[in-house]
Amino acid sequence: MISDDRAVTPAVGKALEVGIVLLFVGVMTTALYGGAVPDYRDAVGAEVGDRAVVAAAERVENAVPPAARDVRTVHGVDLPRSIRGENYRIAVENRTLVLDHPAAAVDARARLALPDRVESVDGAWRSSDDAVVVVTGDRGGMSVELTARAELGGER
Amino acid sequence: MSDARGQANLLSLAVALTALVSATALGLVIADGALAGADREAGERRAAGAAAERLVSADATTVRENVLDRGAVEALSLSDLGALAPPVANRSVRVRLDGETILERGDPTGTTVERVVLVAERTTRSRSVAVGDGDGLTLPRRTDRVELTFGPGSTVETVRANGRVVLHDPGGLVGQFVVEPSRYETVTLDFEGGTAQVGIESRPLRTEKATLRVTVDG
Repeated sequence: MISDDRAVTPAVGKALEVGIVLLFVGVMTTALYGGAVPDYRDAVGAEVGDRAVVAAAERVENAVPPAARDVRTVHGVDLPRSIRGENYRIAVENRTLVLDHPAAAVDARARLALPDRVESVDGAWRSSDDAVVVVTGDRGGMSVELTARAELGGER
Repeated sequence: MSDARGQANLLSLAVALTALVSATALGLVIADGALAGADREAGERRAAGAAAERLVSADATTVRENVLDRGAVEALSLSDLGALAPPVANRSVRVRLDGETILERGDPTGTTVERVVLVAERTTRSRSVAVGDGDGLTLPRRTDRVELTFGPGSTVETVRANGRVVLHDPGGLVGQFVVEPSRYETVTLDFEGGTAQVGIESRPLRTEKATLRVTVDG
């Protein structure tokens, strides 16, 4: 009898330990992946989005050459391949670069400071593209277009 | 006896789990700190940079690249600045030129961008001289525009600027003429062929160094 009772004790004890450890791992995983990790990803994604849009805006501004009779320039723009693990778009709305990202937390926009000789700015980039900014025009005015290098075809 | 042994095991487990929890919490605190340290005001810095860049390159505020037109800059309004550099349109901003505040909205304490610039001021210098054949006249300051007015009865046939003929009339130069010499060298005018009373008006550009500071917030 006595030996029977004592034989059960280690089994119960181990089962209790396994249960507690499983519970602990479950609680920790839920706490991290349900709260902290997405928060951090959002915060970092927002920061990266801000910087990507600002860097792109500066690149667009620097791509505009001085007034000349015939202008055609192509500048490459280095964009992050993905932000917060997802693809995104950068589009122009009313002379403002707008980041279009599936996550609500990642949201950035930058107004472009361009000279008067720039008459129009349009186009969009996808993060998977090899992004370029094309400036064409003459003394009368210039137009800026955001596009992909693949769409330029063979011309540079 | 068996109870005491079981509790001993559970106790060490509890200690181990507590240690794990504290390590995780410490990790989160460090991550928070790193995230806060990596927070840069990208938009604010860009707004300040763009405003400074546009101020020193736009036709409206400069004489040429990096040379500010003092009159135009001092007449600038906040809405002009907003049109020039849209990124600052809705932010607190202060533009200072050598310690003197030109424009201010709110009380910005954020990013400051400094640029070393030249500030140009156009001055007008007029004088009237009587010149004879072969007389030379050196203008005291470099200029890219000189207005010569020859009085009636002038018999001067040729005017040279640094040896190059800029005006010539065998019948005598009478009336008002504009000469545009190089702004890179001091100009000497030579009068040949006769005498005249000449009114000389030059518009030298007086430039001085200054620091342009643009501070933006928000």
